This record gives sequence, C-alpha cells and structure tokens, in this order.
Amino acid sequence: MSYLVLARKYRPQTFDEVIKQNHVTQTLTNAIKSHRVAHAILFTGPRGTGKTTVARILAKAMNCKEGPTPIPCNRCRSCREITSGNAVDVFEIDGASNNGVEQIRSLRENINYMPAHSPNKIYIIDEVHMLSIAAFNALLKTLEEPPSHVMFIFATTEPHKIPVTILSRCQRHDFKLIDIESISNHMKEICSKEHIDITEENLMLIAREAGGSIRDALSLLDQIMACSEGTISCKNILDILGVADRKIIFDISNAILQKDIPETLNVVDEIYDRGYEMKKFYANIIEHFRNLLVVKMGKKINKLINLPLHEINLMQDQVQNISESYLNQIFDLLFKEEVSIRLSAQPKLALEIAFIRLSQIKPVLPIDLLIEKLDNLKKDASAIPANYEVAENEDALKYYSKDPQRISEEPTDSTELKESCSSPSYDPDDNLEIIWNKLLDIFSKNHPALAANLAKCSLKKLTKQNIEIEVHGNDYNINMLKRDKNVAIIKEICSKFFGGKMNLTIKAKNKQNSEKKQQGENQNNNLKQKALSHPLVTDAIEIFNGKVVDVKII
Amino acid sequence: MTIPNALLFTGTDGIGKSTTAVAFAMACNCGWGEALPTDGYFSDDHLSAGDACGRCRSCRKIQSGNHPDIIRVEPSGPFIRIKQIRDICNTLSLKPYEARLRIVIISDAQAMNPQAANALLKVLEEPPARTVLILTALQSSDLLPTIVSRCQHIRFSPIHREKLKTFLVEKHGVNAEDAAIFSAMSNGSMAKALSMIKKNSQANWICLRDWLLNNIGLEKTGSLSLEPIIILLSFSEKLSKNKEIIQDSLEIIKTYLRDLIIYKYSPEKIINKDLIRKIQYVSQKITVKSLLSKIEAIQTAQKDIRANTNLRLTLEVMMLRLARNGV
Repeated sequence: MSYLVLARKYRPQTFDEVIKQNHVTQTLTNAIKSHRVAHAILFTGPRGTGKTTVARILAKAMNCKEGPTPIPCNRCRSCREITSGNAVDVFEIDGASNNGVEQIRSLRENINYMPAHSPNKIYIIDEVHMLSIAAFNALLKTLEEPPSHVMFIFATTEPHKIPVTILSRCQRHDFKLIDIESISNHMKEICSKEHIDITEENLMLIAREAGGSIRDALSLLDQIMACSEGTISCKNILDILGVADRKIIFDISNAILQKDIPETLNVVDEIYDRGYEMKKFYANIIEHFRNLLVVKMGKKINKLINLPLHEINLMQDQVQNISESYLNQIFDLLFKEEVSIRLSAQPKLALEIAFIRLSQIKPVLPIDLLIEKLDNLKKDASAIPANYEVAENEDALKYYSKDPQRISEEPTDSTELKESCSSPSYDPDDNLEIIWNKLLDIFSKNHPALAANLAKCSLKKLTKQNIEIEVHGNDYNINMLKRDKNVAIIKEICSKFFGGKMNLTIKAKNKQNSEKKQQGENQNNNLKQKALSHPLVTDAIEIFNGKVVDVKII
Repeated sequence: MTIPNALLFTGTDGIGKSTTAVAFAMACNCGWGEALPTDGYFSDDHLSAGDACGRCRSCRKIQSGNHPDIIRVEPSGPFIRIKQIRDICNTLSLKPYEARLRIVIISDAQAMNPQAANALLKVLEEPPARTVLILTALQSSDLLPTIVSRCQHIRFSPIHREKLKTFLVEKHGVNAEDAAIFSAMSNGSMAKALSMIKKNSQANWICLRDWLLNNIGLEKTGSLSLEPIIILLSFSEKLSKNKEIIQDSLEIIKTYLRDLIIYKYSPEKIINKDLIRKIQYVSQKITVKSLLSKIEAIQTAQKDIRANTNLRLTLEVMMLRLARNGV
C-alpha cells in the first residue's frame, strides 16, 4: 500500500471526530436518534471542511448493522466496506465526471432494486454542482419521492450552481470555515500521533495559511514533514509555504509609506528570487494595509485582526504619523492595480509599476480641514510677505500641517478688504432681508467660506440683543455654522454691525412646516383647477364670451 | 516513503517543472539496471538511492516517452478538455502495467476548463493505489481552490540571472555580452532564454528590440510634427501584421519603460543593461508621471488585444498615446 496522506489517513470515522461542524453533526445525530433523517440531504461549504467525510459517516450510520445509530460501529461489514470505498449499497458518484443525463437515467433504472445486504441504498453525489441542467431535471421526480430504501446525499462547494428545484427538495446543511485555533489543535493531536515535534507557534502559522480548511492544513503539514528531516524550524516552514515573512511585509509597507522606492524595489527583487508567487505576495500586502487601516480606525482591533498582540503593536507604530485618508488612498490604488497584476505576463514588472504609482499619489486632506485652512489663509493673508515662494516639491501634507499660512499662492491685497468691510452700516429702518444682505456682504469679504454657508440662511428675528438665524441648507451647513469658532466670528461681526453685544441663535428650518405649507398650496391649486374645469363654468364662459379673473376659495 | 498522492508544481514557464516531473517519475521507477521486480511493488532500498540511473529499461522508456504507465496530459488547443480527464479516470481504474509507481503528469493544469478541473477532483483526492498525479501550473491562484487544497504544493524559483548567464556561455557558446542581455530579459526562464538564442533568432531578437525601441519615438517626445505621426502609424501597421510577436514586443517596450523609471531610483536594477547610456539620456527627459501613463497605455492595449479588438486600431491608439508628451 502506498503512502496515505494525513488528510486521508486521519479522515474522521465518527461524527465526534469531525471538527467544528457541531451544527451539522448534532442535527444529524439527533435526526438519526429520532428516526427523522431526510431522504435527500445537501452538504455545502468551502473546500476541506468535511462535506464528503460527513456524507460517508452518515452513510455508515444509516447502514450500520446495529440499525441506524448515531455512532457507527466501524466493525460490521457495511461500515468496513464504506471505509474502504467498495460498498455495494453505497454509491459514491463523482458528479463532475458523471454529469450527463444518461448517467442519471441509468441511476434511476437501478434505484428500484433493493439493497444487497444493508437496510438502505445510499447515493452520495460529490461535486454535484457540475451536473448538467438536463441531468438535474431528470433527477427531480426521483429526488422528491424516492423508494423508501433510497437516500441521496449531495456534496458541493458551489451551491449557487444548483437549480432551486433541487435545493427545495433537499435538506441543506452549510459547513463553516474552521477557525485557526481548532485547526492548530487538530494538527497538534495528529503530530503527537505521528511522533512529530513541532512548536505551537509554527502550527499556528500553518493554520493561518490554510485559510480555514482542514485539508489544506494537513497537506501543508504533510509537505513540511516530508521536507524537513528531524527538526522543523520556522524558516523552513516559511520557505515551504511560500509565505512572505511578516518582517518582509512590514519592511515593504514601511517603504511604501515612506515612499522609499529603491527599498521597495529591493524587497520585490528579494521576494522574486525566492520564487514567491507575486499575486500571493500582493494579496498579503493588501491584507496588511487593510489591517493597518483597521488599526488606524482603532475600533474592535482584537476582533477584526487575527494576529498576535506584538504585531498589532508594531502596526500601531507604523501608522502613528499617517493619516487615515492617506491609508485609504493607498488601499484604493492597491485594489485597482490588482487586475493588472493578475493579468500580466510579467507579474513582477506589474508589481513594480504598481508600487511606483503608489509613490506618486499625494495625500489628500479632509474637506472641512481644507475649508478651514482656506479661511485662515484669507484672514492671515496680510501677515504673509508678498514675495514668499512655495517650495514646489515639498510633500503636500507636511507643509500643510506645519504651517497653514504657507498655502497662499496669490496673497490678496487684504488691506483694501479690511477697509471696505465697514462700508455697509446698520440702519434700523431697513427690513430684515436688507439687513441680512448687508451682513452677508461683510461676511463674504472677510470670511468667504462662512459666507457660503450663511448664504443658505435667512434672518428670522431681530431684537436689540437677540439675532436669530434660520438655516435652509443641509446638515453640513448647520454643523459648520454651529462650530464654536464660527459662532464666535458671527457674534463678533454682528456686534460690530449693530453696535452692541448680540446673542446668536441658529435654527434649522423646520422642514415639516414648509412641506405642509406646500401641500396646502397644492391643494388650493387643485381646487382652483377643478372649479375652472367644471362644466357649468366652462359653459358660462362660452355663452357670455367671458374670462375668469379670479377664483376665491371660501 | 512518503510520496503524496498529488503534487502541484508552480513557477514561471520553462524553469523545469515538467523536466522535474519526468525525473521524479524515473527516480520512482528506476530498475537500477536489473530486471523489473516481479511483484511490482516497491521496496524501500530502491528508492533510498533517490535518483534515477538513466540507463535501465524503465528509465530509458520514460525518457523517450514510451512508458505505458507514465501518462502525460497536455492542453489540446487552448484547453485541457473533460474528455482527456475522463480518459485518465478510465485508465487509472485499471492496474498499472509494469511501473512500481504510475505517474500522471498534467502539464499547464491552469488550462483545464472548469468541467475538466471538476472532473479531476475525485481522482485527485483518492487515486487508486500506486498512482501519483503531478500537476504543473504557472500560479496556484489560476487553479480551482478545491484542486490546490488536494495537492502538495511545490514552488519553483526563477533561475538566477548569473547562473543562467554562465549556463548560456558555457553550454551554448553565446558570447558573454549577449548572454547577459538574454539572461536578464528571460526573467529566469530557461526555455525563454533558449528560444532567444536559437540559431537564427539570436540576431533577430536584439534586432527586434532595437527596432521597437527606435520606433516608439521616445527620444523625440514632445515634437509631434506631421512626419513622426506617419512614422508611428506605419510602425503600428507593420507590428499588427506580425501577430505572433505582438505580445512579446509589448512586453519588451514595457520592460524598457520600466527601466526608464527604475533608473531614476536605483540605476543598478535596470534590465536592459547594455542600453544604459541611452536609458540615462532618455530617463532625464521624461517625468515619472508621463512614463507611468505610457505604461498604462500599453497595459490597456494588451487588455484590448486579449479582448479581440481590431489589432491595428488598438496599436495605433497605443502608439499615439506613447508619443504624447506629458500626461
């Protein structure tokens, strides 16, 4: 007998041995106990989570000599036959290669015969999603009402390819991906059975690489056992797995954030020479930036990132001086470039280009920050020497944050402004609208950004000490106006304008009110229209050759 | 004796995946010069030697491709079709004729269409006794995850530039200068390097590169008078007539553009080392931004060509974009 890989050697033979699929195994066990097993069962879930295994165990449980039992004996004839894969009454059909309607027809012909020596005739169709439409349809009738001795078990990774008519006839059980902890625990058990010495940390590494699939994990473990004679070292494992060392990922992300292109290229070269897959490496980088972004946002970090604590700390250091929006930009571009790397004939070249492109992006600033800066700029324009030149190639973010006044590229002659601001003056005889317009004039000269928000407002009430402003705009306008700084500015200008201290109230316009009003108007219009089109009225107009001057609603 | 039932070899084209697979088959079945063991099963001392002798009957049969139990599957046309996989399944259900370990080599497994790939799953997971399946592919991400999860995955690294160079110089008598270019341009793929130095294409290849680079008009960038446009268009016409070299040509141009960018940051990493003076000269004249947009133009063209657009039109548009100054 040739060598059996671990995944086959340690294939679970009872429901208890199946890892982490309690929701399925428990249901099935209970169903068997209470004799309520459905005649058609569909198992779906990602690769290597135990679909085929559970299907076989179920077949054993149903056909075991001790009657349907949740714990198959694994000793009777039927159980042994199923384990070795040559049972007469359990047909394990490969749906992918027997996918035609002819195969299904022949299956239907044989289905009527009684089982040879076991209570049930069980059809396990693996990879059932590959059956052709005709084959599925040929199966429908049998699947709904099979003879009492027949049971169908389907297993597939792609349930969306199965017609709804089939789905509705099956009891469906979804398998879940298995968490890292359970995988590594399972591997630990196997290692102790195989007398292999391996540290827990390394097992975790393999488990993470397996991506929630036991079979993947065991394949990797097998390979590592074959490759390393005696001791299994971490470096060994990394090399075999083709996982870029965490250190490399940190190095390259640092280089990207620092825009250190030569260093980035160095790392890419190194990775390439080691034969790592560029796509996988790129996926690792994307994942890393995703983690950085999560760390930066700083909520539920432990739950969202499945990494040891010291790495999270390292990440925190990494993003300390980086803005969230910049990280977002990088993340975005990385995603966009993924297609070109996937399709490229020279992935390495595409990768390099992607990184150079990354270095070209300029960090953006949040929009309110920009507005505020612009505002400051106008105000402080006078303070800037006229011949100041902006250093062109300096990093945008740096100089924005260092010194907000430097943004000005064309210093305006603000002295003139300051003088003109006092020109419109308060006249108590004006009505509210004129006063408001005068105020707006002042604002737009001194605080243009604020004025833009104020333009969407109106003056509601004006007494000697109180001024009430109503905002028609959206939430953004209101929030801008309600900022302490802006409120202070408005107050200051108002008190100058009216010549006395003023209290300020900002109110959002009551939308419901205005809607009601509009509704009322609509109703009135409707009534008028009705009256005008009334046959009596039209006749009267025609007879007297008249004209309707006005319609009054009583 | 821990040979797994399924192996997956990945790595770029022409770095010896299939060669390794065949060598593996020989090593597993080597008769060591003696007659085949009558029982047909392996005994450990045969394999402990680890390598094939290359002289025994079994080795020679495998080498010449005549061994009945070494089954090779290659794409017929662009795909490996389900019929080929079904044939394998049928053959595997019988006992091997004479081999201790029957080996199925599926080259370019990424070419399997979805039906074929799915049909392979069952036999891949639990092949009959004394059978090993070996799949070769460019990248594991091109395959179904269900296939990858059933295989032991072995990565092949690209051949190092220096090693490739010395190999070319020593075994094929290429002069050192050319060998350096070829080894750099082949991206660590032996097959590619060998195809470059094939008797009549050796001169051709360098000619092709020079012809391409002279014609994309990077030196004259900025001065798009009427005449260069005509040159550009006639060039793209010529290029569109040679369908088989288009993809290669575009890659060559892209590599050159990449060099222009890389030169600005770390000059020692460029690939076209023999053109370093030209690269230095041109690189100073063009900004990174415009170079990036040129590369994007080529990438777009490649994508369009894959999508079966009008070849000549696509190339013309690409050439005009390449020649455009600035952004």
